[in-house]
Amino acid sequence: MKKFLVTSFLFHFICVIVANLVMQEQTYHQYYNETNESGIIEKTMNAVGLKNDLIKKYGRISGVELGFGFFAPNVASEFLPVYYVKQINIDEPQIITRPKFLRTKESQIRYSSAVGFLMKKIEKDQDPCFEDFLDLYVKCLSSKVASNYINTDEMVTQIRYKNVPTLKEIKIKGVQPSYGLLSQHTYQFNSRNHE
Amino acid sequence: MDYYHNILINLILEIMNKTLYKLKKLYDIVENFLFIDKGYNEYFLPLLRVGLGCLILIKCAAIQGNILDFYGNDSFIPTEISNVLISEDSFTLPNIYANLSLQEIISEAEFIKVVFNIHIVFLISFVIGFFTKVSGLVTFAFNLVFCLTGHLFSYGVDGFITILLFYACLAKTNNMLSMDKQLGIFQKDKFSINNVFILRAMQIHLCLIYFFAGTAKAVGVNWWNGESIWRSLHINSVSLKIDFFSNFPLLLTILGISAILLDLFYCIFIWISKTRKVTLTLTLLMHIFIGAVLGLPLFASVMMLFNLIAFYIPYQTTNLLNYQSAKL
Repeated sequence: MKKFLVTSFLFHFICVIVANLVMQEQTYHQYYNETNESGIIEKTMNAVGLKNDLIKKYGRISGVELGFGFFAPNVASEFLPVYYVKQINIDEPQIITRPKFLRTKESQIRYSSAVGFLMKKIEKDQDPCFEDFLDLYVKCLSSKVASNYINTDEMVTQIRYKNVPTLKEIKIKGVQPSYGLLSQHTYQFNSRNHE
Repeated sequence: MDYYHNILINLILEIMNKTLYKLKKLYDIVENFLFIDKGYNEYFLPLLRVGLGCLILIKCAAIQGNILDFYGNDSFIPTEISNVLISEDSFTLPNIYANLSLQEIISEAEFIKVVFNIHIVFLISFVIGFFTKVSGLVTFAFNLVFCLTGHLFSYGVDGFITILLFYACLAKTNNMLSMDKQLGIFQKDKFSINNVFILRAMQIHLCLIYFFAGTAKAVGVNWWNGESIWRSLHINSVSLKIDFFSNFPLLLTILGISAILLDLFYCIFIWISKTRKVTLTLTLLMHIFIGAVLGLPLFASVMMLFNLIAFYIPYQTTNLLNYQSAKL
């Protein structure tokens, strides 16, 4: 029994180390080389079978697949969808940055986490199919927000990202943080219910 | 020729014997490290169960009003779309609902709410230590299903909850402060693993977490010059006017470098009894900072709990919970 446990222990932590090495290599390449290609570590792990389906499933169940490079090597920009909801018979559109139905801080964090996926929009050499998927993703977010407003006629969703100036920029040039526009999407609604 | 041949074979055999002897010695060291109890305070196990269970309950209470916004086909990102991103889609709630052919009995939304409430019932049972093993395993399974269903709405905290629940399910967490103990249920638990083994697994896991967090930060330049701390101050800040902190670049740089060093050397200093308390205090302070500044209180709480049960409670010689223990 002890030998079995020692072997399991070693296997468990090899999985932790492999998952993190692969993830760190990916992050490094994405950050410095702006590529999504597999690195040497990932290729090696695939070749020796340390990334097969069974190990992936074990990783998901035990949590060992989790990478620990939080906020590294750099703190990423925040993404913020801004929804302009135009309702029938109301001239001024409602501007929504955080949906009101997200009642708690925890719910808002989870929503932000889902919005953070849109960071993939700024990645280079994106597959056109994946770009379509990201547009569909924005449409889903918008549709959900629109469904909480009666008589929505039109909705414009802007995906913005927070531009945080460096310490030097703010000190010397006085640059202030701002929200840059990444993309804009317009949706038409023709009834009470969203499309 | 035979003479040299024999010498060569003897030499190889001698090297192999020496290597095997050294490996055996190494194995003994590993086995002793993993199994020998040096009088660790066993309260870390019930505290793992109660602390973790309470934090998951807080998480559930915080999102229960938005359950349908995060899980299922009525959520922000319907499961049929989010499923495109994961390979194993068989255990998402909408798939379970479809596979069980419950369409004529209840709606998908009602099904998700029912499962969520069952999850909470088992979670409470786990916290109070009632049929701990069963309730722990069910909680673990539900947690996985919810994580998989709402994977786009997950963040670090869900991963750490999964890790801790995995250890909690393997360990004998009902040995103290539990209904099982009081009612005499499952006292001869054959399915749990040695307490010291679980403790070591959690300790090594925690060391790896900080080590990899440290190396990931160290490879970039922005944690060394304070820029990352500066950027992190902007996360979740509704007001953009926090440039006040830019007047203290040295402080931001010191904080950034401290975070790297603490992460990198945690795995060394936490094992040395003289530096353990300082390391632990600094780590807890770092998590308080993360909770307050980055607006991630639940994440910070889970990490603080992880630290306390791995490196604080087991080394406490005085039994702070003796009174309750005697009562139970």
